[in-house]
Amino acid sequence: MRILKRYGFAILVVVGILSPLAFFSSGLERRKELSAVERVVYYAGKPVQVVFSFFTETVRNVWDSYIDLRDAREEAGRLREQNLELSVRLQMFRELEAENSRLRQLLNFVKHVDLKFLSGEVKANDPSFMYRSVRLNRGEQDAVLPGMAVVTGQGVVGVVMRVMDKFCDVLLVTDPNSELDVIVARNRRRGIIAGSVGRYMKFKYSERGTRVQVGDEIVTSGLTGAFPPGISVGRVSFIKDDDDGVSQTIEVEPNANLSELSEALILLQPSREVEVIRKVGGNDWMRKIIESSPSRSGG
Amino acid sequence: MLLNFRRFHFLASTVLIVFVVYFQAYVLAAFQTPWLHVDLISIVIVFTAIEHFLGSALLRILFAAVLMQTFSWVPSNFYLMYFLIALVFANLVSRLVVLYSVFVQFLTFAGIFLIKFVLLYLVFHFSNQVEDPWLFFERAVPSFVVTTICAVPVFWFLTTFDSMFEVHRAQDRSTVDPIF
Repeated sequence: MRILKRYGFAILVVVGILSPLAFFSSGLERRKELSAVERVVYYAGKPVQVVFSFFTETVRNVWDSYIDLRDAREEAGRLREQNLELSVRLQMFRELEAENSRLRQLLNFVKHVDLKFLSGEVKANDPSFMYRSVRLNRGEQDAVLPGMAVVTGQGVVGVVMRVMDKFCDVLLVTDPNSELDVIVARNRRRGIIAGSVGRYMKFKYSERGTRVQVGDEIVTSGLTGAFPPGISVGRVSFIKDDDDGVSQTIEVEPNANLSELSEALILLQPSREVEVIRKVGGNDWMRKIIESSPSRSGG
Repeated sequence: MLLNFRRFHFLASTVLIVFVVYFQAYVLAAFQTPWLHVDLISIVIVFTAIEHFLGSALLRILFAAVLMQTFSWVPSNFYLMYFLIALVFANLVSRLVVLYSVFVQFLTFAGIFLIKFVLLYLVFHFSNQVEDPWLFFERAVPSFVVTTICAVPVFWFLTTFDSMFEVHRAQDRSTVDPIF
């Protein structure tokens, strides 16, 4: 204790200087599961979280239900009209779906798997302000698994990366660590959508000869990850030829309003790759693989 | 175990840190505009590093670092490193200069927050995620400016919060030796 009293600060200075060296030489990896220490700290802080969550929910409910009703009447009218229109469209789509499944049966096509959704509320955001992830109030208890796709009515939101008993962390598609296999809806050309530090995503590694235009819709390919094909990711908003004269910088604006996200749907269909690993090696092995795999998401 | 005012102060300031972490994740990070992204936890960490005993400050700072890590998608141990650097830097500054002047407080906070963004930039840079540094600065500058502006008032608030315990501690006969 006396040594600590005398040299405590000197030891701390040395640790403080060495910590960045250790950190940057560690490979900058992210754990996809909370460590034992993190779990202990998380549960220790949980009583404050419960109180805080109750308080913020109450304030938000009071605000939404009694105070912030400025455009409620107009919005209700607009939604009623939209509802009528969508009901008619739904009936048409049901007809088309029945016709489609009859034709698929005739051609011996593989039957599409019915997708099951689970809605979740956004409870927290990434407090670093630089990375983009959200915490949903659904977890292991609701059969949520890492790698599952998360969407809204407007399009892709992200991929479930970390799951605890009552929550899951979703890495948003705009985060610099996110990568998604996509196609250009107009010409079915394949590429990768990657998040960036800025507001927009980047369309990269497109097939040779891919012609992309401003306004093109980018949708999921359905070839890897847990996303079914055809879910809208965003629209091309900017194209610039790079200095090398060969490549292009293509920016894509996300369709879903991710900065004002309050609810999202989790597709209860495990990622294809994760499911194969789970079937071959079992749950424990899958956990180890997920833990040791690179920190980028893949959808 | 007797809960004297020093222990009570330790407990209360730990709860305050946990509260601030949740406030940052649940409320501040939800704002769309980066001009409301006040990095409150950094301010609280610097305050704790300057005003509290090194041992107890270290315990609380490590706790906050791990809790922040559970919320964020920053690389593992980022907050541990950043908070340790902030602790060392804040302690060094407080030993070299007197932090009574508002201007010195402002500069100290600005320096420590700048370290955070330098570290974050290095993380992005080493991960090959910064193609255009301007995009990084566009996101970082509002948060840096608003946090630096808010730092001094929050520092005063925390000093007032601490002084409440000082009054009671004077009346408290039982004392506990600081850890270091």
